[in-house]
Amino acid sequence: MENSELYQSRLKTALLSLDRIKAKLILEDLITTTAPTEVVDSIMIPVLESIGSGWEDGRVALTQVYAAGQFCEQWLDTAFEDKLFVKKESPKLAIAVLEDFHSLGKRIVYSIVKGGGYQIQDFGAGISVDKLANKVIEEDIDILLVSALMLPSVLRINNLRQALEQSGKKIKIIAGGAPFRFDAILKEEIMADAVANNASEVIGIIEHLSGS
Amino acid sequence: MSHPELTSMQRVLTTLGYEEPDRVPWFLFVTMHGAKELGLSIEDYFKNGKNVAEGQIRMQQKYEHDCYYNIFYLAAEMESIGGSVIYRDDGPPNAGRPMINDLSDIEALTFPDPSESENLSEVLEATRIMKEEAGDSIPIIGVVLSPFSSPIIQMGLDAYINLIENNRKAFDLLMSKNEAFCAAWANAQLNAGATAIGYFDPFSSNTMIPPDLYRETGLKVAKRTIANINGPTATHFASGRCEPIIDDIASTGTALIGVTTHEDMSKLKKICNKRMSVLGNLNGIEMRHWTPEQAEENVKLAIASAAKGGGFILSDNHGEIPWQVSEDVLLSISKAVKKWGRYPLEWIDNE
Repeated sequence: MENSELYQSRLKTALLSLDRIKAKLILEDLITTTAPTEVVDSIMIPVLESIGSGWEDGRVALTQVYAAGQFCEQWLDTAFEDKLFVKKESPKLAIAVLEDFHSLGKRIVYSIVKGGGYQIQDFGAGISVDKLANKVIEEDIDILLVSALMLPSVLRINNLRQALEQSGKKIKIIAGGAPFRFDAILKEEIMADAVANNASEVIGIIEHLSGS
Repeated sequence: MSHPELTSMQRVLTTLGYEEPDRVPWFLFVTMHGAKELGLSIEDYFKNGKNVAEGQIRMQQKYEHDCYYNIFYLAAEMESIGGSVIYRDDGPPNAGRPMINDLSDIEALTFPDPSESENLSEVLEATRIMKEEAGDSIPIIGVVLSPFSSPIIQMGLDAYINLIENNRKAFDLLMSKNEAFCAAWANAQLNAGATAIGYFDPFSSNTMIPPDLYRETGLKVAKRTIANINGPTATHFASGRCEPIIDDIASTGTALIGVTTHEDMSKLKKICNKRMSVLGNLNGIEMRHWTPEQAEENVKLAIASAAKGGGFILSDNHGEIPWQVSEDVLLSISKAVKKWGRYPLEWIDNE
């Protein structure tokens, strides 16, 4: 796409300065000449990924990541309200906060995944291993995103894996949360199919796990 | 030249005066581990201030660190206003569902007198027992969750961000209520015998909000609140970054800052430039699987980065040692502090 880097830079600046009006104008300008999938793939996702990695190395604050994801999700909902924008053949996705009520991480990932054009079910926060496993099996989920802020909750992902395996269906787990940022070995202890270092990485991981 | 043996209090006060004491002081922020000491479940342990005092005293004797730590768990403040707390057998009690769900909940929000609150009065009782034991020889560190960070558990972080962005009037009202309670709760702990107050303010860190927004919000809250706390404070960001706002933090009048393992403690100490001491920054999450050699190496690295000249207290980077960290690791850290923390730290220049 022509001038994609320029549009990315402008959108990123607008999102980081929480200037929703400017961000909206940039996207509205783009959408007049560019297909929705291209706006998402060439502009929105790279910008969200860049903002996510900026958080990882300390240049961007979590509130900015949250606001950017929320804006993109809302913009997609508004811009495509009568023809729900769903990207490609989406795997069945769900997200939950395991065992505690720190739900901002979930909210950010949810927004970014929707901003990336996927449909995703929100199974809520403070959910136990058994309840979550039952819900995932009941809803026939392909990929489960698990957000956990507390170390004990992260360690409980292994119990979740065991509960899911008993169902006989191979359900993929993507884990994420602050403890992973403090311990490189932790991801090896957890029986997840992937660990996302930041919210924006999730889209690439979903694409990889679903082979899309 | 070796220094004469000091008490923990003398050691800490010396370093806060930017002089070198006999050895590097270290604060071991153990909370739940006291339950292990007493053979109790975490829930039973925190029901009673006498348990927590006994746990702190036993742990200080075992690990020989330089403080008692009176906090039970951060959600206790929300529990005191009727919020639910979820206990678990392998981690800290955690806040349940947010209590503030709309603007009318902010208007209706009231706080108890800490001394009359069922659970906070147990914290005060624990503090009094620790003070009887410590006298003036061991500092007792009290804890408050900052008025600016409390809404994370009061209303949930996403709702709180939206409040800051969209309704500053309601935000101001919530802050004024939280500030009054925070100062009262801190002062009650000081009156019960706490030496200083840990002002936990993770939401002010650059990990959470941009510096400009902090200057508009959390900084003003911290200045007003700390001015009303009748004792020294240490500002802790619970693993959040703070380098771009060091000058602002110094302007709040706090004496000490907690530093994350993600930042260069040596650089931060230089920026602090004797306006604040630094506290940190052993990685509590990684600590779970440290060998004795890794514990020793990490203690050496932290000491080498910030201990020279005083103005430094060794601790973990989060303000709470995870339940999963073993006694053996904590004993290895204790041993390493005694081996490598003795001033004048000549080994640093020789390695």
